[in-house]
Amino acid sequence: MNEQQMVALVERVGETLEPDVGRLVAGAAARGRVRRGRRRLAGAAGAAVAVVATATAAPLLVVGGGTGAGVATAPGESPRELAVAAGDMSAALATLLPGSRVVADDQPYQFQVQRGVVRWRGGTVTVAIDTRSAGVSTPARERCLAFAGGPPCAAMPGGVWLFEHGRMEFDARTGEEQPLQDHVRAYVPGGFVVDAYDDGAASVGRRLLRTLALDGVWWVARPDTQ
Amino acid sequence: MSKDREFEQFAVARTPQLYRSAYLLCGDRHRAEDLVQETLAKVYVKWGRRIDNPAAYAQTTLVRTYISQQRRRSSQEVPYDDLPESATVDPAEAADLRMGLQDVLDGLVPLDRAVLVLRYSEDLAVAEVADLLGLSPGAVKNRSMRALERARERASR
Repeated sequence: MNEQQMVALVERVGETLEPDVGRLVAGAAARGRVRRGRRRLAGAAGAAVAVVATATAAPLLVVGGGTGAGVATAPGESPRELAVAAGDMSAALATLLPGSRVVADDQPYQFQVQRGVVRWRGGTVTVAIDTRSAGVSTPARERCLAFAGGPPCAAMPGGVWLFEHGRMEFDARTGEEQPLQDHVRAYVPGGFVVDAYDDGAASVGRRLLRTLALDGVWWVARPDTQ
Repeated sequence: MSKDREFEQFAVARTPQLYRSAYLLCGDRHRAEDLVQETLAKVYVKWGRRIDNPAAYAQTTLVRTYISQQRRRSSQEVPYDDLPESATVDPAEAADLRMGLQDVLDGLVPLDRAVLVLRYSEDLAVAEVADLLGLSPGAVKNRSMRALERARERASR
């Protein structure tokens, strides 16, 4: 076989290949978002350590001081704008979990809370965005601390504050507590709250739940969030 | 235009070419799809920064990802599978063509296979292939000649 024959063979084979471009591109973008989320989390871990280290030496700067509603947004925070409509939440969530499928949301209705629900790895994964407080200027840090009651809140890039916990179940046979459900909550500038949780059967893990809660897919892209 | 939209347009335009290269490299449509998605996901992460030539970057990423995956694989099997039907080529003839090409490429080490694909499918110059694979131009020529020789032997069996 010479070069010309090889070129001819390769060209003829190439003509027979017709990929499903739409499916491939959608899958690639979903993988890319997950990769980007992991990178952000890796960076956020360093940022959180830095915040903890400096918190005791210098109180967080809050314009106007004090606590509660009506306090101006903290430095570094800029309000987010939702990019996903309520009816598109599940489809958006499915793009972040390749292999998942959209299922009906059978959880109790909550006013001004939009949810995405998918079935993944044998369990149910939910991301809910609470818009009831959208527009309030209370810094995300203060909203997180008010909910968590202190130390568990961790600073994330973009002014987001994260709180996570797991529900434990007492196993009478072993006498030990077993993880029942993981829950990650992100307080986002602009008054939003993003909850990511599983039903305990999907083995999602808090790491991935963090990625889901912090993913940029939920928000209108801004230059500083790219 | 948003960066996501720009990426999508780029990906839609480049996917057929990337898929063809991926298939020629790994010889299996499912692995080719996975390779293309992995490549585009890497491009997505870097989109909008530090990429002067996205098409060339994607091609480089594809080949390097393939070689990296091959190094991790314990086996070197090349599964055969049916491929999507073509509107322009008779399915039976297309399957024969692909089987014939796999016969020719089967047994080549990943780097030799990459050299052949880049030289004869992507039509890259020796210097470009050398740059992309981190080889000297002489090494590319040697690998290309050796790979063609082996292909000739397999084709004549």
